[in-house]
Amino acid sequence: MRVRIRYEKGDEQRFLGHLEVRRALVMALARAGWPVAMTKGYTPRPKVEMVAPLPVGTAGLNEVADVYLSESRSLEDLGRSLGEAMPPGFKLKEVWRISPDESTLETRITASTYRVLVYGAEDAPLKRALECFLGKDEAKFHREAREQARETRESHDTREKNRQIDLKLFVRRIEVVTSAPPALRIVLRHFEGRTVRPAWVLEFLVKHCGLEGVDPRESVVDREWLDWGDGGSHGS
Amino acid sequence: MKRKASVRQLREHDEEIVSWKELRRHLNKVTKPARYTGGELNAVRKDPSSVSVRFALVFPDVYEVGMSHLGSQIIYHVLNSRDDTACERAYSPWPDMEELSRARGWPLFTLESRSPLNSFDIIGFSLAYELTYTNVLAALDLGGLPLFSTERDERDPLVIAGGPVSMAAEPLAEFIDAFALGDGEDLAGEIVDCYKKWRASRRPRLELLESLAGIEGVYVPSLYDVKHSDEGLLVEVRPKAGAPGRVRRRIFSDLEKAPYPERPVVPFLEPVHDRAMVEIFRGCTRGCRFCQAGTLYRPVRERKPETVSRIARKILAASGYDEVSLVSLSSADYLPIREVIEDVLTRSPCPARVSLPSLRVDSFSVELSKLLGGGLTLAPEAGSQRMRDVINKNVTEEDVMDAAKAAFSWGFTRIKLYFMIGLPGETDQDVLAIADLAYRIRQLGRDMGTKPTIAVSVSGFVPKSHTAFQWEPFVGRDEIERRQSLLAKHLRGPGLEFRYHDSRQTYLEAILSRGDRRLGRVVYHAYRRGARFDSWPDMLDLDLWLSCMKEASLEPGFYTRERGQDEILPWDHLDPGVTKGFLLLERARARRAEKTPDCREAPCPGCGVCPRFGVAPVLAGRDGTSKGAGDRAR
Ligand code: SF4
Repeated sequence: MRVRIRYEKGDEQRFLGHLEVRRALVMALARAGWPVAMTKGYTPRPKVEMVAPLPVGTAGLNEVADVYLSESRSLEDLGRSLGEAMPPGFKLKEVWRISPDESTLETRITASTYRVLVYGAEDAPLKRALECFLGKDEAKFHREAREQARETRESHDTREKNRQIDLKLFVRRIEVVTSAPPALRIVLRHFEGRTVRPAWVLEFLVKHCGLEGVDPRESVVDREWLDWGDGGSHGS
Repeated sequence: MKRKASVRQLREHDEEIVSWKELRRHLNKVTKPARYTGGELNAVRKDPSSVSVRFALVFPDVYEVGMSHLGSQIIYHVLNSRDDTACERAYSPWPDMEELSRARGWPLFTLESRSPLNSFDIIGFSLAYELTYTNVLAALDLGGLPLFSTERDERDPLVIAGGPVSMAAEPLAEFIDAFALGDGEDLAGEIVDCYKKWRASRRPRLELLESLAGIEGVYVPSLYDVKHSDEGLLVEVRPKAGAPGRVRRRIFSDLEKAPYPERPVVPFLEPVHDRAMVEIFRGCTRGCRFCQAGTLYRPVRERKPETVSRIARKILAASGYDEVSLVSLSSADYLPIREVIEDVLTRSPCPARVSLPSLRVDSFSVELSKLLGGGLTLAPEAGSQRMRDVINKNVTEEDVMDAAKAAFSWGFTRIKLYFMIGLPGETDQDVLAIADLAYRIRQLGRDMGTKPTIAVSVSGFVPKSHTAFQWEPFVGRDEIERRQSLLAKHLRGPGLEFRYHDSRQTYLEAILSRGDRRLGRVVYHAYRRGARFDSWPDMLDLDLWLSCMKEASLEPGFYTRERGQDEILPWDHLDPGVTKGFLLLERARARRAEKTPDCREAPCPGCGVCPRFGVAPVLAGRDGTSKGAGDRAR
């Protein structure tokens, strides 16, 4: 049985990395008594697939993971037991059954919608920076090698090639939604599991669009929802 | 004066000093920010206004290390079980966080309520190893407290410390108001009660310290005048104001009745020991002569097998861990170990593995390892039979080879072996015997048709207080390195791996662990000059420490030298129960390479704990009775 869960990685747990979130979910599943299937191989691991993992610092209001079970259970029981077992700062929002042979969701995600609190800027200069960004044909962004090396297992060559990304390809929408401090809503595309981070967009605004007084590391980022191909948009 | 005002104000309003909004905005600048955000499963958050005593339990190392420490989880549970007390946790900030905190004006705060340390009533440090001393000072300083005990007044928190290191922590004597010696299950609460009574009395701080000194197991260093001779030798430790001449370590006599954290705090960040822990017994009576824990936790006190299984099930259900560690100083000594393991494996609420942190060198232990899965680690501690007899490690050559044989026949191909070098009376031959043993085990494996890997791991011996070797010299850093390279030369070849401990750390530990009060100045200056996390090889700056010693006109050699048997040792006024006479006897036996039996099996060799402190070994794991060798001791 394959079950998809939608859950919240809350504000106060935003600083967990995706391995920690996975560990927290796996332990919650154990407390809930779900008969989670194990992977084959020398060191079997619970079959839990995290979808579009969030980086350290980002909260997620509607995150998704797939869990494989070794026995069938009623969705009602599953939802109730896991709901009670979620750790502080996490909330279970929905549990539904999907076909075991459905292809992995990771590569079918089409977009993430973020809300980004921007400290240090007034509304007007932020809006001007956005106009500047939107007016550009391309927005080449260099990821720091150190950062990427830590997060990916790609070979050095691929890493070099991938270091330059055109943010414009990824940004579907970007707008100022509230003020003092201003917040942005940014919709970022995913291509076959690849996407960019709101903090990189902010960094570009600082470096190339004249946005002053903003340290992108100080932005507070929440992912509000994920969209995927078959009309399955979750999180409204 | 400003600081004081803010403390008082805080007590009145119970404000959070570091707001979540502020923290959230800046924490992305440090590594692993989740070290500082708490909110874990089973963490206890009490409304500060609903309790009368607020206790901050500080583990002076990084979060992932501190969260693996069973003793702190026990104290956290014990204190939070009291309605009148809220116990919160804090850990040492990594240097990037310390820098950010100083830049933003954040004090060191607890995870539960983000309150600064100086807003608490009592600060309790958990001292598990000596190389955390500078982190203790950093925590006090960042927490907004005066560093020196004498600088604190009625409005400052009481600063206490517990854990095994407290039994010989003279270098911290000027910074800690009181040390809690031995088991904390009862003692922690007694200290809280004493504090409450004193606060209600509105008497001067000195009276708090004096009444604390009246509790058995509490050592108040400022109530002892310490005199040194011109050569630096300790000539007198004189108690004042009715403080006892010797402070006895506390012993919680029956673990069956001990409170246990069945709902442990489960960290989100993977701790260094990522598993549930059930303490199956406390104390070890094997009597290894180098081992401080062997003295400090006597006598042996076992939990009943059904209790162990029940606690294991409860912890698993409350945590979701997939592994339980059956913790003790020598878990294979627990007679019903096999039934407990089977019980946990078959009756757990969710599938879980079992691990044992400390195994013996014999075929039974190897069989257990096989049953449990995972790797195999054996600790013969010394290579030659003579040295093993010197240290009273009751392991024969035959035991080692039997264990190895069992290992290969059970399908292990990789065996990790732990040894020490620099032991008293060790010769190069003894050192090379380590390599020899590794060869023979490798050969045995090959003869048995496997392709074995023997991973040898070696640490340098540090003479510790309260052991039979407390008078022995530390062989020296150069000598440790020479013996390391001697071994390295011989431990080359296919199927052999060799790892050794950083000799700089061994050296600093050798200085601090038998240190006196005068070393406090050195710890202070090392802290001021930036020493932190000295137990982390990449962080230790030994030159800094050595130059601080020089400035204080103290010689490292004074601390690493052989101590005279009639010398007053800096920890002599702290009584572990084991008598000095017994330690001396053990030292003499070590010199003759004579063994002393384990009081679990053999008649009591008379270490002194049981008759002196009115306790007895509890072998509850045996035939369901709770009687043991202790009767013989009386
Ligand atoms: S007094 Fe005897 S029985 Fe008690 S711990 Fe010491 S050696 Fe063992």
